[in-house]
Parts: sequence; structure tokens; C-alpha cells
Amino acid sequence: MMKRRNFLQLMVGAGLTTSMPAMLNRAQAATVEIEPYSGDFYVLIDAEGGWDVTSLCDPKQSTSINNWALSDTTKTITGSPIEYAPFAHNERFFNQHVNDMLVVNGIDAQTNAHQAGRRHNWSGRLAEGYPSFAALVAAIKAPQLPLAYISNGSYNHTAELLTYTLMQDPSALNKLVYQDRFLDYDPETWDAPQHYHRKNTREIIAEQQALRLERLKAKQGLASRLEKSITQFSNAKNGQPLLDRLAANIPTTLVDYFDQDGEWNPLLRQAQIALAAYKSGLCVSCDLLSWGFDTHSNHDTDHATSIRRLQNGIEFLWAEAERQGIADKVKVLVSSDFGRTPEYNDGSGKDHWPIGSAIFMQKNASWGNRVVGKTNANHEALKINPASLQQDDNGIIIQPKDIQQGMRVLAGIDQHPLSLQFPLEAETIDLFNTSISTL
Amino acid sequence: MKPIYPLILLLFFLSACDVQPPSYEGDLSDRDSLPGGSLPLDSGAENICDDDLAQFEQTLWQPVLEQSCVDCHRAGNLASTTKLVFDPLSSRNSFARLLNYSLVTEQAAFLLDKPTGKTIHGGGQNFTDDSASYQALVTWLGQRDSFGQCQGTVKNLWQGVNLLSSQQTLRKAAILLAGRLPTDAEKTQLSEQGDGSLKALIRSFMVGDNFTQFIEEGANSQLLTDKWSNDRTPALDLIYDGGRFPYVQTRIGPLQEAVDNAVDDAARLQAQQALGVTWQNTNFGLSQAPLKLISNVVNNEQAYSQVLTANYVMVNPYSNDVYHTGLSFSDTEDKDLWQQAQITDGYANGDIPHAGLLTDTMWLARYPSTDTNRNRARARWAYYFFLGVDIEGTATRATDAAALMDTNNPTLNNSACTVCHIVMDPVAGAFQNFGDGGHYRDSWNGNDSLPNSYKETDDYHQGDLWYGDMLAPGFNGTTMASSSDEASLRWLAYEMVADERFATGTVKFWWPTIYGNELIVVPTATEDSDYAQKLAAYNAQQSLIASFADGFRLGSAGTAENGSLNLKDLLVEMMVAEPFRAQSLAEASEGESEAGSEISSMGVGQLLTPEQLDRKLQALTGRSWQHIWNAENNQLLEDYYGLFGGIDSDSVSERATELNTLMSAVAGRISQEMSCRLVIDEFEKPLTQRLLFNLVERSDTPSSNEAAVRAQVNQLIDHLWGSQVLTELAIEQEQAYQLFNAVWQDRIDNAPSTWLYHNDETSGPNAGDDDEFCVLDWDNEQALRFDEHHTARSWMALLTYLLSDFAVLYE
Repeated sequence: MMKRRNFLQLMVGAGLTTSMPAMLNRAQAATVEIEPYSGDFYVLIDAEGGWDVTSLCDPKQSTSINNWALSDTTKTITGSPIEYAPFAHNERFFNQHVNDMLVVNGIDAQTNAHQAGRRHNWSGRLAEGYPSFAALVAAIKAPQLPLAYISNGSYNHTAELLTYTLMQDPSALNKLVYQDRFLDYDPETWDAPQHYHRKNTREIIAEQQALRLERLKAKQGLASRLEKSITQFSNAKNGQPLLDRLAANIPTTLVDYFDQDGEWNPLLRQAQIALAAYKSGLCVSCDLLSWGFDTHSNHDTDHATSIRRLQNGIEFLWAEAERQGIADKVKVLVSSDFGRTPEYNDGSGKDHWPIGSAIFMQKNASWGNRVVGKTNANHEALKINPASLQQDDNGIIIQPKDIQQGMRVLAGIDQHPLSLQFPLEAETIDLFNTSISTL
Repeated sequence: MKPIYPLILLLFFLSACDVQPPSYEGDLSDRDSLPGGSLPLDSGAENICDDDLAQFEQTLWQPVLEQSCVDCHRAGNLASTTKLVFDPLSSRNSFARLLNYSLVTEQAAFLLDKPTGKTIHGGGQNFTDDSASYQALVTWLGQRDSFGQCQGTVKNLWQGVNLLSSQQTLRKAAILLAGRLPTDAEKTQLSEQGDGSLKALIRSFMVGDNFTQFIEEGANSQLLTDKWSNDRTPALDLIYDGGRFPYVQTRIGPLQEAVDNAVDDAARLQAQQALGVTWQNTNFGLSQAPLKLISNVVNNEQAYSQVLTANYVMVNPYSNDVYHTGLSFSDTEDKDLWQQAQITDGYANGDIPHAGLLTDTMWLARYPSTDTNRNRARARWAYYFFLGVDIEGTATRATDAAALMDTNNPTLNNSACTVCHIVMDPVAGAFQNFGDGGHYRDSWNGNDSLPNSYKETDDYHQGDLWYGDMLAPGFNGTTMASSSDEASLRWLAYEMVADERFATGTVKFWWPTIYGNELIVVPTATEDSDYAQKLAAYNAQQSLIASFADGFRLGSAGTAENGSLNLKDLLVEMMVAEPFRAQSLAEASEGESEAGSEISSMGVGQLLTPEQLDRKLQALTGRSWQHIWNAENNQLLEDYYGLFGGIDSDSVSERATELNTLMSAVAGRISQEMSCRLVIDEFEKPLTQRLLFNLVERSDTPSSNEAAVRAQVNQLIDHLWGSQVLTELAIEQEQAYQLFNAVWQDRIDNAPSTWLYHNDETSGPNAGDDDEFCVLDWDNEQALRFDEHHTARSWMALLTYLLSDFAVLYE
């Protein structure tokens, strides 16, 4: 059996590396200068636990499904097919962003298990092994970036395409960006030496570190795990020179953890930090996490809080992106493990239900202000014609793979060799047809 | 109607078969003679050809039998008395058993007729005769005549793999377990006594605070009970809730009064500080109880089953007061003193019938219940943590709308649901005495933990402890006797630890702690091009787990001198095994096989956690990465903990196992900040008292004493990099010396001064180039502040180079 490294060398020699996992390509490209990223920024927002879309974007005005139906009705927006429930901050949220969003209803997660639901929702496949969309798009667009993929704890399987970064508290980042500088002093009162080693020494150290790294990478015959670890070590070091761009964009004041409703809301800071990383040119994608949706008891109160928290976070994301001047680059997908039952349980809660929704968001999207997909009065998914997008008993049920395919199309990576290594076998649904909505 | 997906049917009743179980010749006593990673084999199983086995694994074993049959048709489970009993840990044995079973014509027909419901089957209908599973069975049965006979060669997974030497293994184990390097005496003992002493030496590292921390960190990485140790979600809130612990204010109450009644700001500040410390120490005592239970069991070499059967909770002086146990402590202010205690009159609703972790409030609250969940989540996690069974991962939950909207008690009556609930609900019932928040019998009258929403239904009867519309409390087909009602979790604990899966569950629990990565998830996507490789890797790991579990269960693991279920011996066994030590591949030669993808996730190269790296730094340098102005501030465990992959057991619950750029930058920062004071502090000591620089003085330069400098360089590499040099040692030694020499020569030629601290005040394009910061002791005339030979600064440069290397961050 040919040794793995010999095999790789042959592949390189034959020019057959373009279809190889990006991890290996990064190792090959280690000597290439890394350019900051200026493409689109992909934000995947996970309403973790299974959200109740009948109280959000697929309203069911049925008193057996929703208590709000006892006293209120489904809301509409003039000139829009988007409807919403009179719940949480829906009125503000949907009216503000109606032109920026495509709502997809009637998505069948094909599971009620959290782990499987998250995996299916964010990778497009129920079985294990596929990377999250955030990992995939980062691996395709700019895997060499030090913060190509920032994860805040959603489904973040990378399939070894790249390594994700968790960056919850950037307060210590300055000292990482400038590792070799002395920074623990007040420059107003002390003109201190700025480095631990003088310049010539630093250069000698850096040269020897680089040579050592090359020797490690060139070492033949290491066991697979050790080899992978060395590759990760090498890639991690390669990204360091770009970190100074991050220093220029890290906010001096971090947003409060408590949102406008007085709720502890880590989504705000997650969004702020991710946007800063993107503005630095170091990040392609991120997943943001909003908790509290698994409301098996006390649903109305707790779920309303969770939806408000989510909406406050999304609105902050857009406001911050505007403030940074990058809102036109941001592409967002909001979704969840699955939905919640179209009825209350004995504890005034709602349990797991495989049918859910997803919301694509992009500033003034040409495909915005639309709805695709439909459910019936019992919140069961209805089949639609993938071309006309209208209800059709001979049509298809939308699944997470179709949403993930939509994201791949939106990102322009659906035909990339790396995407094709993880085929979704999705339906060809005209999701982004600007003139059609499901009626 | 949506399709109902293939389900595992684990029905409660046995088949009507009245047969004796077959005898299988699995002899565990000679496991040590088997190739690494292999299991005892049934007679004849060794003759199964690898190709036939591989095809069996890919087409039938994993996608069909493991999914639909094995959970009942295995020793100790529901179908254990039938003629078909698989070995869940050995596909090879199961192949042999299935083949033998099918040799009887009638039984071959059963293989097709029973799972499709055509004939009586205790497991009901598993799949239809137009399903892929059925076809896979048909195909395999049709191939039986083509199965070859291969001469008894069982693949050695590790053939062709070079392992860390015994000395290198000793060092790695010492760093992880004890946070230190092996002593010279230990290294000598290993050299003199040979590999036979390796296990005993590793075991000797399992003492002291560092080992306790290793155990508790590993346990918390799984259980995540440290969620309650912070200010945002404190453990005290769990205790205050409901007012059932009448003595919770014993210490805190008077201190709060002192704050409220303070006569002036100074007094108030003092009172607040006292309150704050007590609050923290109390919260610490409460939140750490589950981890302290585990470390207590391990450190005292009790059978590991005690983590579930222990009739006590661990308390420190502060939580002792909260629980009002009656114990005395030698120092009532020392939060780090721990004892075993029972909670009796410290709880308003009666004596708590302790059962280790199962009854621990912190664990129960970490995995809470609801009115409708009815302890099922706790059952799920109990299976997962302690038996290694992932209920949620083994079956596809029903998504059929009709099943989901079934209101006729579907978890009891609908086959789409009972597949999992028949396993889960009896165990949920064993949690009957504990309410949603983890309190014992928390209903208003303290008689039960049933919610009012249930008590208002016709199903409830006065005196009930459990739901009448659910399966009775029990475990694995055994219903709990009502005599155990008061202490149902104690009953469950003893049932669980007696189950053979307790040993495998323990191995799975500790695997990530020892090997630094998660267990491989069973691959299910048979259409993937690399499915065969993934399955091979999964099976290889499962074989290892089974092998370790056997030794753990039998008491033959480790030094084999401490009885069954000794965790220290299990960890020893895991650390002398290949997954801990595999480092490189031997050159392939004709006739030899190379190690394949089966072992790709195992071996050397685990990224240290922040805690482990901190202990390693202490071992290597004598200190942590302290803030230069505040030695109490451990930067790696505080400021940079999250950035280096640490968890908070709440929002961040998974440790980073892959180095990213920010983590790499942390390592770089460490090497820059630490090197200065390390060198100065070393050279301020006599040579014989130094840890790092005990071969040179500052006056030894490449010019005056090259040999000594080289020797010192080589020793530093050996000390700091250990077994992770990985490349040619001579080259590394030479390159490191060249670094030292280049820095030294440059300083001779260009250094602006001989001070160890220099503030470059020049102007122009090179302004600042000669800045050199170091914290010096300006008040002490004896302190080292000059570097007249320019060697101190050169050693600092070398240390920066060595400390930032792969070899320090990984083991």
C-alpha cells in the first residue's frame, strides 16, 4: 500500500490537488501570501432547541395551536405575502425587514432529535459527516484566513476542511495580535520599551521558527493524527501575520450583554465580534447561537422571551453592520433544529415537531419580500411545485438540504468541487425567483 | 402518511422460544496474548476472511443488525435466551454466530421471516420485505457458500506502528497525570526494571492535587456541572429555590445582616467582602460536589461503581453548614477540605436517599425535567454517561404526523414511540422521587415529585409516586419492587453498575480525557465513498473500548492488583496502550501491512487543554504564565482561558481540540512574556538550584565555553520538548545552538547596552528597534540587571523559540 505522503506527492505532481480537501491545500499554500477577504459575509443564526414558527413566520390562528389566537389575529404587511403572528417583537421585526427577507415555510427536518436536527439543518444531511455551511463556505472562499470560520457553538463540524475559532471575549485580543510587544502599561504616563526582544533578535527567532516548522512538515512517516496536528499547527501560525488587521477593528467598547428588553443576550456580542472580524478581512462566515427555544413547559412566556432575544440580536447585527458600512455584504440564514407541536402539552409547553421554517436575509435583496413553502392548518408541510412554487400534490416537501442548497447557490459555491464532495441531492427549487411566492 | 423510518424494536416481552442459550467460547483469560486491539474470538471466528468480514460489516452488520437486532439479541438483554445472540463488540464473532445459526434451514428462514413479521417474533416487525435491510439479509444468506476459509490471522491494527518508548510514555503520563516530569529515580527505575515497571510507575503518578484536578476536569468535560460554579447561574440559587434547605442561610444570613446594619462605609465594605468570600466558598462547595465525589472514589481506590452507589454527598465546611450534616471540620474556613456526608435534617422533606451522582442536586439540575418530560432526559443522560448508550443516537425519532399527534398515550402504545420509550421510561421512573429542579420529593407536601398538572387528572391516585400512564420504574426489563420506592435511584444505581455496559460506559466516559479527542460516531451513510474507512475506524475503536472494559471489569487492567472496577488501573491500561503512544509508521516491507485508516484518530498529537498546558508549564519552568504585574493572575486560566479552548460548562461546552490562529497566538504570547523573568530568576540562583540552566553560568559564551553552551542547549531541548522533537535531534540541537549563537553574536556587535532592559529613544526609521523590555528589580542591588556577557538575553531568545513550539503545546 502506498504511503499516504507519497500518494499526496504524486497527486501534487499530477496537478490533481484542486479537488482535495481544503485542509491539504492549505498546507500546500502555506508559502503563499494571504490576502484579506472582501467577499460576502455569511452569518448563520441558530435558534437552538426548535423554534415555534407558528408564533413567528408561519402563523396559525388556531386557539388549539396558539393562545394568542384567543384574542388576536394573524398579521399581514401591505404589499407582502409575509405573515406573522402577534407575538414577541414580530410586528417590529417583520415590518422593518420585510424587503430583506425570504421566508421558507414547511421544511421537514425529518427528525425530532436535537442533535440530528441541528446537523440536518446546518449541513443539509441527516447522517453524520457533512460540514456546516459556514465551514464549507469558509473552506472554499478563504481557508487560509486566521478567523475564516468563527463558531459560537452551533453545529460546527468542519469535516477537517479547516479549523474554526471561538472568540467570545476579544478583550485580550490586542496582546495576541502583537504577541511580541509589551503592552501592559499606560502610554500616557510611560514611554516604555515596546518589545520583549530587540528587532534583530526577533528576526533570528522568527527565522528559526520558520525553519523548524518546515522540518516538522517535511517529516515523513508520522502517524496520521500527529501529521494532522502538525498541519493544524502550521496553518494556525500562517494566519498570525494578519491578526494586526483585527486589532484595528476590534471595538473599544463591547456591547452590553443585556439587550433592550433587559434580557441577558449573548447574541449581541457574538454579532459584534463576528462583524469586527469580517471587517478586518479575516472572516468569511460565522455561526451565532441564540438559546432557549426548547420550551416543553411554560411555552408562551419563555418562547416569547427567546424570540424577542433572537430578534433583538438580529436587529443589532444589521444595525452594527450598517454602522460598519458592510451591511450590503452580509448574507444571513436564520433557522432552528425543527419546529414545535401545533398544540400545548399538559405543562403549557410545546414539544418537538419536525416541520419548521427558515429565513434568508440580505439587505434589499432582489428576492426579498417573498414566501416559499406552505403548511396546512395543522402545521403539516404541503408539497409544492419546485418550479412554480405553488402547492402541488405531485410536488415535493422542502427539506433542509434544499435550504442548504439555496445557501450554496447564494454563495456561488454550489458547483465548486468541494461542495460536490458533499452532495446534497437537493431538489431544484426556484427559491430565489424574484417574482414568485407560494400563495 | 409519511413513511415511518426503520426503528429499533425493543419490546418488553420475550419471544416464546423455550431454549437454552448457546455456549460461546469466548475466553477472557488469555486476552493479553492477543494482538493489540483485538478481542477474544469464538471458535472458528479467526478463520473468517477479512474480505468477507469487511463486506459483512458494511452491508449487514452496521446498517442492519446493529441498528435493528443487536440491542435485544445480546447477552443479558431481552433476547439473550434465544439461539441467536450476537457479540455487540465483535463483528467477527457475530459473523460466525450468524453463520452458524443460519446453517439450520428452519433458522435461516427465521432470519427473514421474523424481522418482517411473517412469524412470531418477540421484536415484532423490524422492516418490510421490500426494504434495503431485508435485501441485505437475503444477499448475505445467498453468499454463504462463497465465504472462504482463511487461516486464523486476525489483523493487528498496530502492526507497522512505532510507539513512544517507555521513557517517553512515562514522561507523557507524568505531565498529564501529575503535572510534572518524571524524577531521575523514576527514569532509572524504568531503565533498570524494564517495561514491566511502566504500569506501576504510571500508577504512582495518580496522587496529589494535580491528579485530582486532572480527574475533575475530565469528569466535568463530560458532565458539565461546573455550570453552577459561576455568578450568573450559581449553585446557591438551586438550593434557595423552594426553600427546602432550611439551613442555607446559616453562614450567609448573619453576614448579610452585617452588611445591612453596617454603621459606615468602611464597615460595610468589610462586611461585603466577608459576605462575598463566604458566598463564593459556599457556592464552590455546592457546585463541586459531583466532581469531588468522583475524585474521592478514584483517589481512595474504591470501586468505580461508587460514583453511582455512594451513599453520601461530598461537602466542604461551607456546604456542610448548608446541608446541616452534623459533621465537624478541623478548619471551618478552608473551602478545600472535603468529607462524605448524608443530608438528613438539612432537607425539609426528609432524608435524601443518596445514590452517588444520580441523586446529586447539581447533576439533576444540569439535566432538568419538566411536567411532560417526566425524567426522560435524565434517563437518557444516565444511559449515556454511565452505560455509554446514546438512546437518541440509536433510533430515528418518529416524525410521522399521525404518530406525533396520537393522543392515546403514544409513548406507551404507539410502536413508533415505544421503540425508545420502552428502554427509557422505566429508568425515568427510577427518578420518580426527584423533581424538575433536582430536589427530593418537592411537591408541596413532600410526599412525591409529581406535578399538579398530573395530579389533576384521573390517572393520579393519592400516594402515587410515579405516573400511572407510564411504564413502571425499572431497568433493562426488570421492574423495580415497590419496596425500593423510597430509594429508587439507589436501586437503579445497583442495577446499572451490575450491567456489563457499565464498564464500557466508563471507558467511553474517560476516553476523551486520556486521548484528547471525542469518540468516533458510528457512520450511517453507507453511500459515502469513505464509508468503509469510517466504519473500519469506528470498529477498531469499539474493539479497543471492549478490550479495556474487559480488563476494567475483571480487575486485570493496569497493575491488576486492585480488584475490579478500579479506575486508576483502567487509566493505566489506557496509557500504556497504542492509542496513547502511536507516533510513527515503520517502513513498509514486503509481507507487512501498514497501519490503515482504522487508527487515524488515535495516537500522539493531542492538543493540551489550557489546564493541562498550565500544569505542563509549571512542570517545565517552575511557574505558570503569570501577569507580569500580578503573579496571582494566571493568564492562561483566566484572561486567555476561553481563547485557548477552555469551556464554561454552559454556553461553551466543548473543548477545542484543534489549534486555531488565536490559540497559536496565545502560545506565542506565553513564550514572549515568560522568557525574561525565567532566565533572570534562574541565574540569580546558584547553579545547583536551577531547574533550566544548570550547566552554564552567564560567563559561558560560544567563544569561551562552546561545549557547555551546546550541552545546555541540548538539555533544554530534552527538557522542554521531550518526545515531541519528532525530527532529527541532531539537527534541532544544531539549529537551536545557531539561534543562540546568532543572537549572542549580534548582541556583541550591535547591542545598545549591557542592561537587561533598554528603552530605545533614538529617532528616525529605526526608532524602537533596540527596545528590550524586561521586569527588573530596581530596588535590589543584588538583583540581576546587567547582561555583560550578553548571554542572558541570548538564553531568553532561545527560550522564546523553544516554548512556542509544537512540542510544548501537544503531547
